[in-house]
Formats: sequence, C-alpha cells, structure tokens
Amino acid sequence: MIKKEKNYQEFLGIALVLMSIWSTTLFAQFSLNLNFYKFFNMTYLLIYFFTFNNYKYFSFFSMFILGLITDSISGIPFGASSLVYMTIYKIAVFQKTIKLRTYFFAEWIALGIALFSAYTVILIVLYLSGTSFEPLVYVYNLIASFILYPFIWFALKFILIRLGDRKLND
Amino acid sequence: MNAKNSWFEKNNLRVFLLSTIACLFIYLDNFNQKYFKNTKAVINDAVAHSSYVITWPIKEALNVPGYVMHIVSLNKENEQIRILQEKTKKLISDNKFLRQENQKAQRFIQEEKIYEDETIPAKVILRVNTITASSMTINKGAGDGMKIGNPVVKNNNLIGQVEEVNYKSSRIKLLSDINSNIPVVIGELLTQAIFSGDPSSKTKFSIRYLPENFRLKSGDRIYTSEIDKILKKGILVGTVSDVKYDESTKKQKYSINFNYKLHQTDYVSVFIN
Repeated sequence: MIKKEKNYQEFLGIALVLMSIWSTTLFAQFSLNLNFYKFFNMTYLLIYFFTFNNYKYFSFFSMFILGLITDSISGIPFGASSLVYMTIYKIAVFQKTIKLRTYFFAEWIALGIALFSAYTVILIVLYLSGTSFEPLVYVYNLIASFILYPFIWFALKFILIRLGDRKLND
Repeated sequence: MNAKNSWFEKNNLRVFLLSTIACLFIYLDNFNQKYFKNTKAVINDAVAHSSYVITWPIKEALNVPGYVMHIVSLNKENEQIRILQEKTKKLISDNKFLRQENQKAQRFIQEEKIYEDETIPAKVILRVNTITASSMTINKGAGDGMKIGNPVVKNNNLIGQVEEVNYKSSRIKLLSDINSNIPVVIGELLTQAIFSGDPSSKTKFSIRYLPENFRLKSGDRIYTSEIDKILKKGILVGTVSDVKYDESTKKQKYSINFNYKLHQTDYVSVFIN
C-alpha cells in the first residue's frame, strides 16, 4: 500500500512536465498575445529539477519521447526538443553524481550551463533547418528561466515536503 | 579496461543511440524524406488529437468563470440590444442610411461569393504560441484535400497558411509567426509589399518592402497578391489604422485591424484549390 502511494507521488514529476508541454496550448486558448513561454521555459526547469531530485520515469528514453511530443505540438524540426531535453537531463545527472552534499548554488550554476547548452542546441538546429528566429528573445528566455529557478525550486520543494508530510501522517 | 567505465556500457550506448536517432530525425525532417514524412504525419495526428482530448476538460474548466460572467452580463447585453433596436428603427426611416447599408451589404455579399464553393470548414483543435512558432492545428488533413500553402480564412480575413499536412490534421502557420511572409497589396494604389510576422514588435506584424516614400493611411485595406502564384489573390488580410509618422526616425507606426479574435477562433475555412 505504501509502495503504491510512493509511486503516485513519483508520477507527479512526469505529469507536471507533460502539463507544462500542453500548457502552451492552454495559454493560447485565452490569448495568443499572453505568452508566458516568451519569458521563460517551464519545461526545461521542471526536467532539470525532477532529474536532479532523482524522480522516477526520468530517463533518456522518456526525454526522447517528451521531446517528440513537444516538437509535434510546436511544429519545430522533429528531434530538436529531444536533443535539448536529453542535454538538460545529462547535465542534471552529471551534477547529481558529482555533488558531495546538498548545495543549492552548485545546482543553480549547473542549471545555467544546462540552459545555455539547451538554447545553443535549439538555435543551431533552427539555423541549420533554415527557420527564422529572433536570437534576442532566446537570450531573454534563458536569463528569465535562470532567474526564475530558485522560486520554482522553493515552490516545488514546499509542495513535495507537504505531500511527504501528508503521506507520513496517513 | 573496467567494464563500468567502458564506452560500450549499456547506459552510454543508449545515450549515443537516442542522440543519433534525434539527429537523424532532424536531418530527415529537413530533407522531407518520404517515409519519414508519413511516419511523422501519423505521430502528429496522434499527438494533436490526444492533446485535444487531454486538454479539453482543463480548457472547459478554465472557461467556467467566463461562462458565469457571460450569464451575468446577459441582462446588460439585452438592454443594450433593445436600445440598439430602437436606434435602428429610427435609422431605417432615413433613406440615405438605407442606401449606404445596401451598398455595404452588396460589397460584403460579393466578398463572400469569392470564397463560395472553394473552402472547407475545419475545427481548431490546438493553438500554440511559443518562442519558436505561432500556429494552430485543425482537424482536416490530406484526405480532405488539404495541401501545404492553402490559405486559411476567418470572417473573410486571412489568418494564415497551411504549413504541414498530416492524414487527419494540419498545422496552420499564423500571420504572427516569425516565418510567415505574405505578398500583399495595400490601399487604393495596390502598392505591393510583404506582410510578415514580427513577434518582437507590439503589433506582432510588420509591412516590409514598401516603396521609400509610401505613406500608409488609416483605413487602407491589405489584400493578398498573387506573386509567383504563391497565394490566391484578393483575400483580405486586415485594415490599417492609427497611422503615425515619426519625423525623427522617418518611420511609420501603425496598427492592423482584423475582423476576428484569434484566440476565440474555433472554426476556420480553408481554401482547397
């Protein structure tokens, strides 16, 4: 019974990433001008956070599939997001294995490297495929995503600790 | 060499294999390879329709406050309609008004007639607005006669072009997409220009390649032109408004009015010829 509950909580990570992918269509439902994704990329942050915190269902293969779903929805070259998600995943796994103790600043800096690598990959793919893009928008997006991470980290840790408490109380 | 650190370790091989497949996908997608195109069409169909089904309850739940507000405002609207009706009755008695309205109606009917029998209606199943693309997915595909480049209209206004055709769905590249470039003619002199998507600007659009001394006027209508038969000519794109000329930068500032609200667009018409 306890094992089953744990699985449900671990499913939360992948569910949130999927929701962040679909949220691009949900925001567009209300206003095509109201585009949060112009300012930051929630999917990148969630993938990094849940991989770093060793969540179940986060693997190279799941990153590959999630990337294909993203590409299919947004219409960018197939495989581009898969490469990006796998890059973020690899850096998060690497950072997780080399860390000696929980140290948020190191985690945050590694995220900066992961985001920089991710945006570099996506821009190279867009350039090679002849798709027009606005480089400045990507720079803003990178900076905003990086700045936003501590808030996302705090919110998710808070929620996950609360969920953990409830499970213990049950 | 220790097997654990070997390049042929299972995990490293998996990383290499998946990265290679991703790169191969990008390569095949760019070169429009036939078999890959078919596979991609099937994946796109599956993702588009399943995304529609999964997000539908959330969209409806998020719309609930809007429905409530709508019901609350119904009484107010009723009163406004009643006042409007009275005003209309008074205006009907005015012969001049009738003539003008008649002319307007005739113009409208003629515009509508252009599009008769050439379009098919389609339901919008997904709207996407990210930094990489601004698009819509509709529920008509290759089997319904969709082809890449087909113009898509709403209320007789062009909203975009078909960018990708799958079996049971198609993606529309909206006018606001950075990769959208539509040949147009503007105003009474039918001046040629390119109507482009510009996500970095406030208006989301820009009119490029206008003649050097050309000044836009409020009320100028923008229609599609038929340069190299890229697009059907004569489809209304929008109307220019709020034109301001900045003497210091020698640039024109303007807005474009459209006859639709894109985020409230549930159905569109697609030219199939």
